[in-house]
Amino acid sequence: MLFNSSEFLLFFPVVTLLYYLLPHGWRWLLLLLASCVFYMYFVPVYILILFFTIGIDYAAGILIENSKTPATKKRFLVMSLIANIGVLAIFKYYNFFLDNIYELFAALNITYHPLPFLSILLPIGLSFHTFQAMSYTIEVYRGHQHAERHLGIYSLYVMFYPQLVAGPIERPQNLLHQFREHHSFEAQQLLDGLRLMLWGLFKKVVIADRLSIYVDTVYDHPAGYHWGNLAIATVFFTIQIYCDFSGYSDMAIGAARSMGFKLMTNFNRPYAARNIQEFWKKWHISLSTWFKDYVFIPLGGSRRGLAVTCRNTLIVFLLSGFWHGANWTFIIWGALHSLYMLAYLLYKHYSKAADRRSHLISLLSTLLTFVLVALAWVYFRANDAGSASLILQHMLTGFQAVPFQQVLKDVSQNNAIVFTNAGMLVSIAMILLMFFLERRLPAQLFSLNKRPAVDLAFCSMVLSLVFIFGVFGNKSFIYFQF
Amino acid sequence: MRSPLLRILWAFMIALLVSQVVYSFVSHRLSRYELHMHQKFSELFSDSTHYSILFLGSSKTHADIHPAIVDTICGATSYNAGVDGISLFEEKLILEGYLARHPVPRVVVLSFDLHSFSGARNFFNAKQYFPFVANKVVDTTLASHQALSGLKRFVPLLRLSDYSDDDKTVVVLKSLAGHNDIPQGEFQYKGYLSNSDHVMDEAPKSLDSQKMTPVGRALLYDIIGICRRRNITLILVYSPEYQQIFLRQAPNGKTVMDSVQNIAGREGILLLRNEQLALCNDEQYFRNVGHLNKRGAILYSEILARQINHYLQQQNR
Repeated sequence: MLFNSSEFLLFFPVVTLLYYLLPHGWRWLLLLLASCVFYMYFVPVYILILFFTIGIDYAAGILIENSKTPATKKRFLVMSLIANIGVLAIFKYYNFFLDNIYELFAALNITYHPLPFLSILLPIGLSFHTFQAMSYTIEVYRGHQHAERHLGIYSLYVMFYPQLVAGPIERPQNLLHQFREHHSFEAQQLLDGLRLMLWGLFKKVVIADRLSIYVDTVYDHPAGYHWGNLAIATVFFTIQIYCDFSGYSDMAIGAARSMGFKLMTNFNRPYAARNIQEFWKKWHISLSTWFKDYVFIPLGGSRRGLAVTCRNTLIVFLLSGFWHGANWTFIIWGALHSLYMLAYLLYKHYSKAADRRSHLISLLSTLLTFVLVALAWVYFRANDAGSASLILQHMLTGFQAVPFQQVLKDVSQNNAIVFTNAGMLVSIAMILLMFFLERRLPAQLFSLNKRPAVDLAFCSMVLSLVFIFGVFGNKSFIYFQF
Repeated sequence: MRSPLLRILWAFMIALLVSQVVYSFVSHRLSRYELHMHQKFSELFSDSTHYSILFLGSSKTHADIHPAIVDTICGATSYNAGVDGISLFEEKLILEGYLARHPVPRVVVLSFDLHSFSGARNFFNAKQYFPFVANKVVDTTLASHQALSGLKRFVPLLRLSDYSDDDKTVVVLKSLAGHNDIPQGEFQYKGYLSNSDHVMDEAPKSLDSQKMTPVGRALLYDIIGICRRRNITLILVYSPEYQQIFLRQAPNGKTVMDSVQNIAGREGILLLRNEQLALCNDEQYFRNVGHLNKRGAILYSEILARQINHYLQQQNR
């Protein structure tokens, strides 16, 4: 079920109302059933995959905690990790590996008996709930979290509907105990949740889905467009993916908040970052910290010298790219970010004046970071690596070939105009409004409670803009594919 | 306003009010700007004037047939109900919506395109029908085809999502400045909008493959049935196009035309193949390959009127 669908418009109030009406002891069951319904709206049978990993990790948690020796603990942890990564390997990466092995064999003239490709759809949000499940067994293994004995509560930890399909990727220490706490109805809490959901909906249906019309048209046929169209589409995608993903996170955090749950912050104005390191502290925070806690630090982090730090950074970003999807475009995207990060680390290591910056330098640094991130998104969005290279080549070298007036013409496909200059103006106005409000208003908007008049003006304005400029096509969220 | 629940309620009410005001304003300005179509739909779906000849079709009808010429030659009162971009699905809706309000015409001239039979049951521009839901046929067709269903049916402001960014900005501004969609120097008369004196200069485009789908065939039979039940004479027309370009170049174009010809023959309906007229070889009569210019429309309206008149006289004998 999509947060921006009419089904969710019914689902959310019914579940929230029932949640508060039911006695505390039954609430976990309601949330679990609601989460099952939410997930089964996509491909019902894939819930069996969730049940499989839930069963394995639930048992692994208890076995790890009950184990007497570190070696046994480790054995059960490895078993759990293999099961989780195995599910990812089969459903997400099997065809990719097979395809690349065959291409390699063909290039080396090696004869082979081909294995069949799997013709299955990728289970929605697989990487998200698998990573969340893995963080549970790792934390139990580390002794930071007690094993959960209640199968229903543990299942809910993996399946909690607001963050089931696209995060934030929670840690057991933050989420598990909340399912046992009694949340009594508080109007303020409900308003906090609804306000954040509304803001997420605005970013999704007013900005992201509007920009996607331009981006999809241009990126699906890049050879047919000028450098200017490609550059605009790239900047638009940079904004689109932020509004789409952070919009989803806002709605997830808001939906959970309406029922009294506190989920972790996932975005913190990433495009205001002045360098690539800062960007990754502000973008998809739940994944960045996951990789930091479970990969980067165990590999030695940044305390063993520059060379080890650079190696670890490279590994983390390549894994991050690969986490996103079984496609070379994502791996190249991860590699580009690792290069940016290595360059920044080297700069920081050898430069003494890094922290003494004027406003102008800060502004230029933010702009440069934005441009670098946008260029990397080209690989993330392009249909394949070849298209991405073509887009970059046209964008960076083709600007002399076409007069600028041509770039500002309406964007057409098959002789039909799909995005007009009016659409462009509305998009730019909404983007500026979003950045302005995010800069001026407090993070997650919760402290707006203290200023009722501003709160009322904000909520009425944003809801009006959703009604007036919303693009309602039940368009899926970009990160659902991961 | 300290109570959060009250604040939620107020925010919701204010947003509903603001959006409703914006919707009313935009739809009002749009009906002012899209003057020609709005007037045509008013005359088709709200008025009850009697017309003896009704021309149905897409842009080829809209810009090609001048009712004043037809009226003079046929001694009738005709109306041009052509609407840009539509196919048989909407032509059937217009016919039924028209019959719900007007006395039965003597003749319906259905001008079809090759794409008319694709079987598509979606609206080319659904929002232009919204102001006319008082007409039962329009209302039920919009509802049954999800163009105006669910909450959108009862909460008008939700229809804002059907309006483009252009409608909400540029069109509103143009309308406020007193402009409308009738180009300067052009005129409208009983559904006809003159198509300028421009002479075609564009190259033929590559054409999509055409199909006579079972749904398209069924829609044609529906129209034939409606006319039979109401004792209306139906005439099928394929309008002029420069050097029969669509018919010759569109893959499967000939197959579609053969199917229509078979149906017309079987059902005893006159089919006028006007893409074969001599004027189709003279680019001076065309605005573009598929549409006549003002000069072409005057000449063609005269030819078509004579064809209709001749056929009706034959029938009377």
